[in-house]
Amino acid sequence: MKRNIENAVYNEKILSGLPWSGVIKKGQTFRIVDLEGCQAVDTLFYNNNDYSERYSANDTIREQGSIFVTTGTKLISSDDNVMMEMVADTCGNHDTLGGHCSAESNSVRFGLDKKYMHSCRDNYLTLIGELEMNPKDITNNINFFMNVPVEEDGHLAIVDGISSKGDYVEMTAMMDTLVLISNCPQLNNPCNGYNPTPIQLIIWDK
Amino acid sequence: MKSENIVLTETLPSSVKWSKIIKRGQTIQLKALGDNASLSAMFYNASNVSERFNSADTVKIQWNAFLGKNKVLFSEMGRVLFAITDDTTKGLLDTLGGISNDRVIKENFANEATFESCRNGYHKSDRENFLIELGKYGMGKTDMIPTLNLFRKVDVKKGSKLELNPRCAQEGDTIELTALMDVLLVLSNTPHAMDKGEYNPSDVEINIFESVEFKDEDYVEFSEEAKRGFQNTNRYFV
Repeated sequence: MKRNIENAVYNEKILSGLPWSGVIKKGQTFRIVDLEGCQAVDTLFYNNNDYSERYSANDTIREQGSIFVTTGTKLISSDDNVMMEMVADTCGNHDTLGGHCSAESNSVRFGLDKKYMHSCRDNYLTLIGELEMNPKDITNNINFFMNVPVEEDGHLAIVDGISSKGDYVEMTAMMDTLVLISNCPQLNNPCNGYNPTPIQLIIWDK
Repeated sequence: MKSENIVLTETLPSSVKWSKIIKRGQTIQLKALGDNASLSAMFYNASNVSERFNSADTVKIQWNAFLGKNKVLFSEMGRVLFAITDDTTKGLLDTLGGISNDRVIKENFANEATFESCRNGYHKSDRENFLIELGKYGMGKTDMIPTLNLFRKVDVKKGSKLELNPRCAQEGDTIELTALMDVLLVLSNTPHAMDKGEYNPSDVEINIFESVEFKDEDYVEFSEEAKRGFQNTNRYFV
């Protein structure tokens, strides 16, 4: 079935700074659209039938031999299973290393007075509270559309994004997958162009 | 940041797991006893194991995917678990490669060595070692965090490609970690998850140095970000 907006089973706009959770059933395809470009979409994945199995950044990047996720990437779980397979990517270079911002890391990175700004970890803590999960369930996430190049000497920085208005990624679920998203509210670095913007989330049946 | 007095010495044989709470102010020295050392480490605030090593914050905050002397290892709470206070390997540390599981061990080390065939010389994986050792603290799968690997390094080539650096620590090389809080440290002495060929991680000597009180001059060599991490950590103990 060709995927177009008319035959989507879910299609919602998520404003900047908000958390979102949803289940992508096995065989369904999930699209994240960067509506205005240069947004960062912090995303975590869990086996919806057993939250102790979750996306593993280490296993995913080691098995594919690259730090970036893009079309063809298999998102590997902590139990060595494929959770999602990326099937489309109009942008490239989605980050796997930088994790998510938090009140506490903001205090270290930008100054102790930056502790009370809204953050992705706050969004995750809200979601896992609602879902009766545990802070221990939060792990290294993928940052779709966030640009974190690594140089030969290891130098790493979150730099200006390369995504354009309307860029998107698509992934097909290989298991029923709970997805947690924080549509990043960071205002202290260029992860989202210092201007957090909305995203569109779309789901299609098999 | 280190006392002269060693309070504990022991040798960690090839392939085994180990754990201990390293107290605030103590330094743990890990010494390669051969030319093929490779440890994996997971570590936690011993008083609240929900607070744990966060590799993403650690590399992001310090602007580098690689670690070495005078870098610190952050928890997700903006606090410092360990400071890397010495490293004669010149940067043989890794947060990218993760841990081995049984499949990886079978694929990377062709001679399958089971308990049935090799008794206690069987090829243990990191996953097995960590599950067993974490279990002793009432912990399990959800506590298996992105790991710190010691004595091996993974390079990032051409901006994205991961390759295990062929350089190994030499016999006698040491890495020292000073604990800024009481840290539950779990170690697995197993080959790096990207290593191939022969399964023979070297024995590693562990020395723990008596606890010291931190002084302001201890922080001089560290980055501004690390200093704020020390401040957050010290405030935690007020």
